[in-house]
Amino acid sequence: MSQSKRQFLLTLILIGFTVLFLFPLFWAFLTSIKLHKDIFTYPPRWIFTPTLGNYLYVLHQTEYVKFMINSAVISFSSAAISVFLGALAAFGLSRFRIRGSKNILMWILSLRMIPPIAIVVPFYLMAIRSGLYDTRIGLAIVLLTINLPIAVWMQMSYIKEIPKAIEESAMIEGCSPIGAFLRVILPLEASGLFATFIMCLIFSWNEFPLTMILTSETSRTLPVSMLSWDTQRGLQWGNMMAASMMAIAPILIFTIFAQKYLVRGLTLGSVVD
Amino acid sequence: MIASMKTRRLSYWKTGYILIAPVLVVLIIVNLYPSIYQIFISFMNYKLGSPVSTFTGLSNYHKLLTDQRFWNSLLVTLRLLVFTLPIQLLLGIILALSLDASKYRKYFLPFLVLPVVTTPIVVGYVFQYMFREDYGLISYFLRLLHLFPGYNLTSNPDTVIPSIALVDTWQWTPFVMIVLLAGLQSLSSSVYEAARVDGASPWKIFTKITLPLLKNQILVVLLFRTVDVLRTFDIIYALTRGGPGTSSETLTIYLQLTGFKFRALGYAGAMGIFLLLIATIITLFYMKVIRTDTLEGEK
Repeated sequence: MSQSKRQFLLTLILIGFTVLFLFPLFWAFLTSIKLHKDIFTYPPRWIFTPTLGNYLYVLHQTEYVKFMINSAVISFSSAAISVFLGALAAFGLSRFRIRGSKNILMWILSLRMIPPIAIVVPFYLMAIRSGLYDTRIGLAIVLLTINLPIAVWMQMSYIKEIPKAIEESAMIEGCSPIGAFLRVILPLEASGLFATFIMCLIFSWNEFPLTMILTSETSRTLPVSMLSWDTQRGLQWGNMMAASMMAIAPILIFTIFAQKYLVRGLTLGSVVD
Repeated sequence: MIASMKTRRLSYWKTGYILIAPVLVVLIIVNLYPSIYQIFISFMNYKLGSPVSTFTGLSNYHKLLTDQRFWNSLLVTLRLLVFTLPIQLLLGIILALSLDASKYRKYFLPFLVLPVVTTPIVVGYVFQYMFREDYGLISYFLRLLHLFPGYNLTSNPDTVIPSIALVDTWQWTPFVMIVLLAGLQSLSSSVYEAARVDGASPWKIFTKITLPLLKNQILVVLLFRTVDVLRTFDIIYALTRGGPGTSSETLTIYLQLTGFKFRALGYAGAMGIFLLLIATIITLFYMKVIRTDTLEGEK
């Protein structure tokens, strides 16, 4: 087969797969701009008069904005803390001799493998007793258990790519190790910091089971608020899909720009592209 | 001079510990302490909303071993693994090979990865909408192909697991794809050229060269997919909540029900301990395979 023919065939295959993978999101978007009467039709309707009614209803008639602020505050703070503490630990573990560092690293890695719901019972009792149940602070702390393993391992893989000689020469010139970290490593690791922050943000934003169990009305996040469309009178698809679209839009836009960091983030630095 | 060198070196050694201390302290508070506390909980008959609880010894664990519903939830989790891992691996390889060979991969990649980051609970509801037997799109397409069985695929005990597997496959095949693609792109082309010069067929090159060289990436994919299927909660919660009956009730769903609907926190604690154990065993198993392999590679 000639090269151009091969490329043509590959492109066809890839277009097919892309359509398949984007289709559910596209269909959800179509539903979000449909009137109620256009949603419940058989066969499904492809051509209709679009409306923003669902979006306006979700934004004005429900507490959606409050939940969105909750989601943003919780995931941004948890991601920021994780990236900072993770950077310190990654620097320490990759550049200094620490007794048992291999075991510490393995322990941190194993925390990524545990289903978060496996420790939701003690979390719940601890949250009730400490008064952190249904608070944004409580949730941001709990999410650290998901974010920190990612933050440590991912940034280790970035710091390892920085030649040791660079910070050593800084230390010979009189920099303290912390000074070398702040002035030399952090700027060189900037893309790693950014990538780690994005990954932690995605994971915290999407988290559902812990958030559902550990919140009630006040600090509910967007994913948990989806449940409220699952009403006695049946599902309100138009509103729900509008709410869904607004919930995933920030993440999807981030991902289109941060896609090259995804492999490293999802495999905790074990596969580098 | 020597003294100052010594203090400097001493502080240098200490720095490492100071650097990792915050992370360790936080992880002990948010992970190690809860895990140990949970062992204690699992020995009590904690009830949600009730202040009194008494020590009951191993009775929660005894109950666990004799609970039909618990064994069922393990079986459901296992079936989900069987229905997801092989197909995702196969599709992921096909996609990764196609992307690797395509000149236009950078235009497809940003869109193909979107399912991975889409909020899983949203994914669950979007698919619930598409699975509807009356106006759902999947049912509509199945009708066009004369394959529609007449009921909602998620409401039948025989088809509910494959349906959930379909949703999981939609969401996670792109993950398999990008990891394997990263592996493919790290292979040097000289190996292929040598094989091609020797007259090896494409299939032989794939099975004898590409696959063995991708072994580590494949193991990483299998490790992450296995532990992530074990933790699947969101899409099942949105699609079926474990139904019909208990036919899609995984361990995570059953744990949540036990603790927060049936209010048996002590018993749910015992399940949590069990889940921790399984996850640890799976991880240790893969780590051992991956590590020995890396060591062999370094020889």
